[in-house]
Amino acid sequence: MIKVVFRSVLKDYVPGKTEQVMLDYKPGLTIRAILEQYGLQPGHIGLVLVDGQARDLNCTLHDGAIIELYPIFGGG
Amino acid sequence: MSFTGKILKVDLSSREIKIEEQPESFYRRYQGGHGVGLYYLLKETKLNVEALEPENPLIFAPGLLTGLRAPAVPRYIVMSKSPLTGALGKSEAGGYWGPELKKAGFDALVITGSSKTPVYLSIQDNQVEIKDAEHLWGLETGPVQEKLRKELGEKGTQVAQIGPAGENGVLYANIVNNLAHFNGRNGLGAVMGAKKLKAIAVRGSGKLEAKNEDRLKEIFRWTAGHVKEHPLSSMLHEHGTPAGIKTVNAQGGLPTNNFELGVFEEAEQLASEEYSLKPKGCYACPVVCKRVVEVNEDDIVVDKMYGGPEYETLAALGSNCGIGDLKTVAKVNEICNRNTLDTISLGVTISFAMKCFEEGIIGPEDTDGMELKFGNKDILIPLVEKIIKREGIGDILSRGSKKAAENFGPESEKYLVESKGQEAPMHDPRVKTGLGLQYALAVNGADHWFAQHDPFFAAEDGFGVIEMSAIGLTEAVDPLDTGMAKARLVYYTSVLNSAYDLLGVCMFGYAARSLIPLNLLLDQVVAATGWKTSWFELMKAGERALAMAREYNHRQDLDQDADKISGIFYRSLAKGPFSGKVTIEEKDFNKAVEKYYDLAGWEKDGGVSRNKLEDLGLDWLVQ
Repeated sequence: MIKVVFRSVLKDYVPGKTEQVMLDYKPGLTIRAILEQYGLQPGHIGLVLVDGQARDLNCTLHDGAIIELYPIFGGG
Repeated sequence: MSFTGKILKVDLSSREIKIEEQPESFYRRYQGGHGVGLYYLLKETKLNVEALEPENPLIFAPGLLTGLRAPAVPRYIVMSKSPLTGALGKSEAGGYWGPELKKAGFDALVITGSSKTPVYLSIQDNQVEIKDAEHLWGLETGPVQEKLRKELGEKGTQVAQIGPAGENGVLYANIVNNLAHFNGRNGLGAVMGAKKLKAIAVRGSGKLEAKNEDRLKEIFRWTAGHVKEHPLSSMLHEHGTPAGIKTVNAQGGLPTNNFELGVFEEAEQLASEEYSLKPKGCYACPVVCKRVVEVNEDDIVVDKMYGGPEYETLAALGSNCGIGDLKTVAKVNEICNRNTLDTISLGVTISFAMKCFEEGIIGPEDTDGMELKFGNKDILIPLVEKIIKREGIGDILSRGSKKAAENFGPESEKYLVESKGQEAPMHDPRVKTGLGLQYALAVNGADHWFAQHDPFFAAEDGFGVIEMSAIGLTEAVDPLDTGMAKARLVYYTSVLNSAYDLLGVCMFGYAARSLIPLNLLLDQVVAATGWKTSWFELMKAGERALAMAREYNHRQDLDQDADKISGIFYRSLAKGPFSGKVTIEEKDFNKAVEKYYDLAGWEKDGGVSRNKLEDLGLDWLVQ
């Protein structure tokens, strides 16, 4: 299983607006594929953490990974 | 047309009021906003004038599109010599005042001289009067707006004004319209205060007619229909700028304890939406993103009339001072708004004093007995009140951090976070280096909207690269890059942002920060004016205004030495993912600054090359 945490306003894209979801692990699964599943565009994402480390959207995931997605931000 | 062809000129010393007419060719060249403002500032500023002297002009100029029923173009600029930096002062605000000035029949207001007694300016179409303001002087902004609307008309009277901080000469006092929209930076409220000008009340009965109203309506409808679909505009609408706190904290770049740490343990509390009400908007803007906060608790009451703390304020007065109590930050924001204080400069000036206190550079004997320690929320409100009144330590801090360092001694200087004397906004260049270039290069001191922000360009499928391909930016650039690619990104987007400021565009409505793409903005300029124009011409106009701004600073004797960032950014952060890593090397950074000069035709002596001035049709500035 993979845990995906939709931080801040990204949880609006999760049915029921829950912050955390568990997904079945499939070999070759990428963050980009997870975004597509939830209707998020790559430009929407400002930071991806995999097991606490910053990663890009093409990062291949391992079973048991914890992914945190943060929305893009710049200019307050 | 989207312009009226009339410039209102008011001399507060002689009480002379004049209207100057300008032909269409003037607007094609200088457009509106800072283009028009700079034209008059350069023509009418005497050499060696001090910011708070009567001879320093103060100019209000809405954008070229402002006042039309076009989406997210409500902005106007205020320009003058800044008392905080001694360089060009410029600051934009949204709200309703800019559109009203256009409806009253004026493209800009140029104020010179100063009054001996407090006055306000009443502009009711072409009836312009300088009126006595003794009864308003000393009042906070809410009561002033109420009284002026009673005097001049409840409906449609838009009031731009200063509160007591501007009257008292706090060097980072700002100007507010409709109680919650600020020309926030550069201390322009102090210039207004020195002129004894309390307020400018405007009411216009005219209507600006675009050449092609149907096309404007189509674009307005498209925008209104897509606000909630586009991820960036929907995020701004639903959650406002405070949504950025969690992202920036996770990135390790949330200014904390005077930019020493990039991570704040109480960030979640600051980002809470517990006290948020339905957001408010600006004139003709479907995005509607301005935060409104109300607190009604035994210990703290915050009035929703004055808006609410945005991202910059939450970080400047919150995490950057080590304070995580949202209610306290919201209350201080309200006090600032009632008194017209820039929350960014205020927050960083206080955090600087806190750092000096913690390092033993200053002690309780210097602070009227206050324990200026990070996280001490109890001192925040009394300290801000002292700053507004300029009493004791408040007087020293009312001049901003760079001047306060002259009092605290040279050992304090390494804790400054400023450029050209203006405190840095809440974006740490150590996690996005383009912001460092923005702070160093911005003509008005550390400014976070001199160009677009690095994260939007981090990947090829990011909104920055997708949207900015229209102006020739087609490659992703690493947020930590300090080479040619970053200099080019900052250069191109600084020209774009300059063009935005000419038109009255709000960054929260347009690419790359929001939904409206560049082609639709161009369509609006064509629809508004009927000109056969192009992005080439709009970018040239943006470049022209930047060159004029640079020339203004050159006349104030600023040169390459002014284009710096504080030493703190060459040191590593002490906490978070970037702790222990130096991400900006000074020599690389200075090379990137020079690369920008080369692209822009700027020279190390502070001026603009003769070739570039001639290219831009600014022959009148060739010396």
